[in-house]
Amino acid sequence: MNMRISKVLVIIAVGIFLLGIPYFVTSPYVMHIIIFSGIYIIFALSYDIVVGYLGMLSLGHPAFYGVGGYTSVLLVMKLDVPYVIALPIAGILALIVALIVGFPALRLSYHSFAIVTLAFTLIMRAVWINWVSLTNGPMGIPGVPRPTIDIPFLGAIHIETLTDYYYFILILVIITCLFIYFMIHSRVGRALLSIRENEVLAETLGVNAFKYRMIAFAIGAFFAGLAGSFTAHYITFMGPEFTDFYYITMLLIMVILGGSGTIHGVIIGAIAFTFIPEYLRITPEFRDVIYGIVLLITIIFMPEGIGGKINEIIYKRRVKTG
Amino acid sequence: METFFQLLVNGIAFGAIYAMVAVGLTIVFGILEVVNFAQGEFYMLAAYVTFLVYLVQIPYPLAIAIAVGTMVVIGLVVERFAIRPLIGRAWQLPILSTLGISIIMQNGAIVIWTPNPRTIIIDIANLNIDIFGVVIVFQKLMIVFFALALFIGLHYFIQKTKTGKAMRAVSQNKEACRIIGIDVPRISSITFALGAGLSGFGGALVAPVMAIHPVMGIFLVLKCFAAVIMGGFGNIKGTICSAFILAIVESFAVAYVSLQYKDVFAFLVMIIILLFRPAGIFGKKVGI
Repeated sequence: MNMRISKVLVIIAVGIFLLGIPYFVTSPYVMHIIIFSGIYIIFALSYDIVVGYLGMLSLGHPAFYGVGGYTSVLLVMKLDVPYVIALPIAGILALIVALIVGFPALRLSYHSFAIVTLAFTLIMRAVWINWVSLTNGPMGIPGVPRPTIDIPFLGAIHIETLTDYYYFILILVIITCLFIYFMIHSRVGRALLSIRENEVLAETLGVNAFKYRMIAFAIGAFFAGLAGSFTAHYITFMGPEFTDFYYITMLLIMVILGGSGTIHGVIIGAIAFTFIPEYLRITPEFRDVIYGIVLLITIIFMPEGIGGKINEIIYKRRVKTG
Repeated sequence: METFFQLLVNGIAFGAIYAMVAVGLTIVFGILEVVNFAQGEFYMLAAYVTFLVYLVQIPYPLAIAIAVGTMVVIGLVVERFAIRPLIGRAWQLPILSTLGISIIMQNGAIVIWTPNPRTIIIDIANLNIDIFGVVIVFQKLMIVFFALALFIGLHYFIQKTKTGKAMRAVSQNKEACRIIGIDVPRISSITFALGAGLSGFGGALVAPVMAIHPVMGIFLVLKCFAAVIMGGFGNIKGTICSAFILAIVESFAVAYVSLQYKDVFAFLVMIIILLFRPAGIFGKKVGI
């Protein structure tokens, strides 16, 4: 009972803190990084569904981010679709693309899957760069309109200031976290963990590994698509650089260093690696060298990540106190 | 018709390069069960070493030897510090660590040598040879010749020598190898160094005919992955055949279909083949 009250208090305190951020963060630059942290939390959590819970190394995640971004930008700009509709369609199209890619790719061995998904990213990138009439090629699409959310009877909400964007991304982050939390603790989540731990055993118990893999891969792509759509409408630009190889590295670092298969760890990883590069004012190549070193050191010395370490500490304390 | 043969010859020359790098990947996979993302970086670094050594007036054949030797040493170091501690742990950890090394090497090369492409000019390498109206650059003939010699040597090494036999044994059953006293870590080191050396040889051979730049390795290695998957992971002959098929398809597709999508054809071929044969064209089992 005591535990439960303290848990509720912590949640309320965190809630007040999160709602209050725009009031005590005065610097627009810091606010911008905080909004980007939100984007990367969604992006990294969705990636963690595939890497952490499904246990497969997908290198195709940035492509889904790009699919989401281009879909909603093109819908809003070329077809005048309202943003409230374009945002879910961006996610759903990314989900459909994931089903199409996953259908052959998820039947392959683990190693082949990694490479086929990487090939998928590169193919999508080539298409976006070369299909100039649709995507404006390497120049990208500038002047993406800021989102307007029409609510019947209440009028339209224009999302313009950093504070508006902050609350918008906060809602999306909370939806993502809750969705993933409940998914992991549902039948689907248990099936995924059983497949990750022992596929043969899971199959003999009647778990259709391929079906659950498709589900997890598609859900991961859905949230990546949402993150892509939000980013494009936030920075009002969409270009092929969002599918750069750099993003794969960054995601891997966020997820692996944060702790694959843990929600809190990935959130920590995403926030840390949004802030660190902003304050490390160095050339991108040098930054990537450092990223490579961080990735290498984490994998060799702490493959369970920060989240895994935290879980370990909590577990030990529980064992100690009984 | 002349264009046809020209494209075919180009395809074969590139196929030889792809095959060299891909064979390195496939033996490392067959024996260590590690997908080595840094394989392309050995190719790139070897080209740079050749360039740097050639700058100080060292003759080209010696430059090749130095480049290959350097890659073997780097391969041994990488294996010792980034692969060996991860063997026997989760399967994705070695992949991620080679990915980390690839990122470090590639961006390190940009930091040190800038992204500007470099070229080596060797007169004899760029000599044009006219064979029945088909013009071939001398170096491309050399590439094909060296690649074939290398593959024959590799075949002999793996089939006949004691180390080669130990490598085949390790690829089949590590436990049994330990029991009969094969030094598995030593075989792993040799294999990884051999892979790095093969890739380095490819890099040193293309240095006089291609621009040398820091990202030359990454696109090559992705196509080599395609060849490895098509050939069936760990299958050397399958990998070599697939590498030639991919390079020839690419050569024709660039000429007759589209130049912009040059880097995509290899992946499309791979995906189409995997749709019908998930274990590759030649693949059934893992092992060399």
